[in-house]
Amino acid sequence: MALAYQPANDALGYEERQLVKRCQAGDRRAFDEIICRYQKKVINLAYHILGNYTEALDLAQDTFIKVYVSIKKYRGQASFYTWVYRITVNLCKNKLKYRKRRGYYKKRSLDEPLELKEGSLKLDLPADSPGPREALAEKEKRETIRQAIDFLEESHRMVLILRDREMFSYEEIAAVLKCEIGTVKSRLHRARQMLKEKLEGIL
Amino acid sequence: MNCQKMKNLFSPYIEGELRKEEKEKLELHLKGCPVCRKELSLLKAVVQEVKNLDEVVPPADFLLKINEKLDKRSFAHKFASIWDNLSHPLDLPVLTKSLVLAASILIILYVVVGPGQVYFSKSPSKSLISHPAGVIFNPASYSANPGRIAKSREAIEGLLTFVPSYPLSPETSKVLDYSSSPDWNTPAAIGKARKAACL
Repeated sequence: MALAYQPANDALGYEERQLVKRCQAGDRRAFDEIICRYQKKVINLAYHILGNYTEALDLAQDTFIKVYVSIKKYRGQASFYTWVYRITVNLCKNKLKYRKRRGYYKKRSLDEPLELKEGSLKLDLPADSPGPREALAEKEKRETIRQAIDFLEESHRMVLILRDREMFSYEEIAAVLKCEIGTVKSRLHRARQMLKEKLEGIL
Repeated sequence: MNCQKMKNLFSPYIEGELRKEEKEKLELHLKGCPVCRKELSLLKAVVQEVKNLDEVVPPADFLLKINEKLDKRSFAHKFASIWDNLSHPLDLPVLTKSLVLAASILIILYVVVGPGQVYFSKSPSKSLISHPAGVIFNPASYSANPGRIAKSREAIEGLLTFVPSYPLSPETSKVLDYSSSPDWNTPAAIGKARKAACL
């Protein structure tokens, strides 16, 4: 199976290795280039795991600072992109643990009626736009899916997002999460099943 | 055919990972089982919905903000590395480093305020700094309260043990050379004070 983010050919791989080397030597311009290459992926990964844009931005910043600080320790044993995503995922895990301790998930339940900020929804929809009712329904559906993902256990959520949203291969997911491919497959299957059960009445 | 067993094949089926015979078995089952057909289409819809989750874009100042943070960090880092280099020969843990720093500040303070006002004041109550260490060098209190002297000596010895390997600078030695002071006139006390200062 083709790896989703691995540079397509040796020339690109070589370029990236040079970039990492320059960065290890303390070249901040090379580091800027690394940020530009990875920022979108890192922010999206964090956003879909955490479900909150502001938190995702903070986490992405922390990820890049951690990359900068520890890039000298990177010895090329794993692909660089895998290493970057592993840092992101580990920081996300910490964040989720922190939320759990603070009782973030106790306050909400899927059985309760969906609480949406009506004001913000209405503001987004001009009265004369075609099908505002459909757009509203679509937005509510997305919000429900988002909340259902929030209810998944951390390990299931990670695999689901990495595979179905970010389109990583099993091998890549196993490398990022440092686990067996078989574990990735079973977690993915379980995560999809659980999400399906939660969304049965909506889809 | 067991529907539960078939359900376990749905996820690999969507991924296109089933072996030919497994795939045929499942497809045959699906033809005759509307419940499983519905389940499978639901699962496909779930996968599709996750795929369709909206993509977010980085803000325009994302790179700038990281660089600002890194600049701040590198300033703090530089300060830390200067401190590390200074204390490198001793290679001490942080707590000890802080104690060494505190002891150095105390010593510098004594040196700056001057021995005339601190070490050699006739009465402890008139000292500019009423620290027990200051009293050690007061000849009057030597005869008056030997217990207190021993206590104070222990205190200063405790402080000074953190800087044993640093040789005293000429200026410091000069200041600590109490024998040159005209006010100092008890030879036994000189020896004690020197010992206390050099321990």
